[in-house]
Amino acid sequence: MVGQGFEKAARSYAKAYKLAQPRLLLLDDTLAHQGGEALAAMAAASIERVIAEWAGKGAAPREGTPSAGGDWTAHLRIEGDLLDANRVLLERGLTDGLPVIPPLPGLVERFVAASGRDGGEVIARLMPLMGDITVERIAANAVMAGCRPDVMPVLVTVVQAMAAEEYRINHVITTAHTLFPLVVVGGPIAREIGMSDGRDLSAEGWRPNATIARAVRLIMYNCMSLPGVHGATCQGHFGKIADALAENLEQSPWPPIHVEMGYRASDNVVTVMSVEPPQMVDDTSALSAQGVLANFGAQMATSGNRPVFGPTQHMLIFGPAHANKVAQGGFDRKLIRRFIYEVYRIPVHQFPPESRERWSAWKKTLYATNTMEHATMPVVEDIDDILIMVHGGAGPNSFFAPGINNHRSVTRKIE
Amino acid sequence: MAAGFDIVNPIARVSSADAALASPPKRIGQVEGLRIGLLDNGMPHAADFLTHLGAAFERRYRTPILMRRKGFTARGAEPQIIDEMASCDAVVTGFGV
Repeated sequence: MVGQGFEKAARSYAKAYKLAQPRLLLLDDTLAHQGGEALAAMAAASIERVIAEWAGKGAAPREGTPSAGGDWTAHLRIEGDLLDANRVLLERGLTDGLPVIPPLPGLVERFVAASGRDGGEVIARLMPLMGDITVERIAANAVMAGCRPDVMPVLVTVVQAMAAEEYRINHVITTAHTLFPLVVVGGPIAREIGMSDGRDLSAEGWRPNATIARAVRLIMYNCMSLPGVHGATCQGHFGKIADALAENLEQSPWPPIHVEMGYRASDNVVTVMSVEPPQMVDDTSALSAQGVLANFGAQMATSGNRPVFGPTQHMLIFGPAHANKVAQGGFDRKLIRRFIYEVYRIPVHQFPPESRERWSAWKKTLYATNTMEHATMPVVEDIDDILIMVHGGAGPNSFFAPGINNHRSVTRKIE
Repeated sequence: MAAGFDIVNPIARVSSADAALASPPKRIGQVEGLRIGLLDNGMPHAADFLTHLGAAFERRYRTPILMRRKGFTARGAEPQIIDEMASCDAVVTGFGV
């Protein structure tokens, strides 16, 4: 049974699993917000369609089945000029809608050379497309995004990180949830390739950030998903392209985030994490560390967002002003986590009864009795799942970037 | 730029694309007596819908029902659950519901 808007994704998965003729019961709605009699009626109305599908007499596809790549060629022929190339790539669903630099063979070769690897090296094969994500394919998408060649090691490492099972790339690609990859680049390479740590507002200063983020998204579109199948996001969000950041280490009171993870400061490291659109933490009045942290905690301690239902990581992106105010109050990362975990908790009674079925099993055991209605639960299941970094310039602003339950960030060293 | 030029294909090639697709599943002509598997993918109300569907099959066609729920929505089902579903004559599961 396939929810509304997911037919293309379902058929692409079927192709990836080599299913000859997927038998799909296409629902006219999702099951969310349906209950009781409505569900019973939907099920009763569906039974004959299910039997028809099993008998091979199901309905014709409502949406065209994407190509599985049997007619793939290493090059595409463009008749016309660069504008025609943009038009063709856009029409084929291979862009994010913005103009691209056509991946001319000579340009791609330069990017492959900058990677230090062979163009034919397969970095990963990822669901649902299961195509060969070679260094050359990564390079082609990097050219399209407007990258400079020196970011290739970062992009290759991002793809390696996305291949980790805990990243759940197959879900990130096809979900209706508004998720995008947050890419954090640590180590000397961030400065070497000119990444902004949040202070430089010039286009030149932000080019690596913007183009790395864009290339990651194009690689997801073209190398992990079937052409034109870009997920079924319920609400499109331009921020869904991706985001690539470097820490402001000059103004940070704490060690780099990758050092806390066990790497050396001199290691070049990439962290990729699926996040929802970040929420600004805007505090101009707090005079204490606790006052600043109260704003983060209040935004995190909500029953109204799905991540709270299961094991979730969150990323707190402190602006330098907030970070230093908090550090002056004696808080390091460990104490920040303890403060938020202990003090900013979610009252159990705020959860509608019908939403509690989505809780983790242990939460149901702990809280799902009438005697626990006045209890509170922490914003994360594991206190160490509150990740903390410093980025940005002057000003009393920070970001809270919510993660998504059952997804983990992945960190890889750039080799 | 001269009219007509080549660009590198940004799409990843599915190198196993030429591999034979799995044989189409056998067509089911008769439902009575079938053992039906229902795999709850953990999405909201999937269990409720499948429970109603299973009850409808039992009422109309006297089919035994085996219903299981996988551990994580965004991950494949556990091997033992897959084995149980594979032991059924026909299965219904959810995608994006």
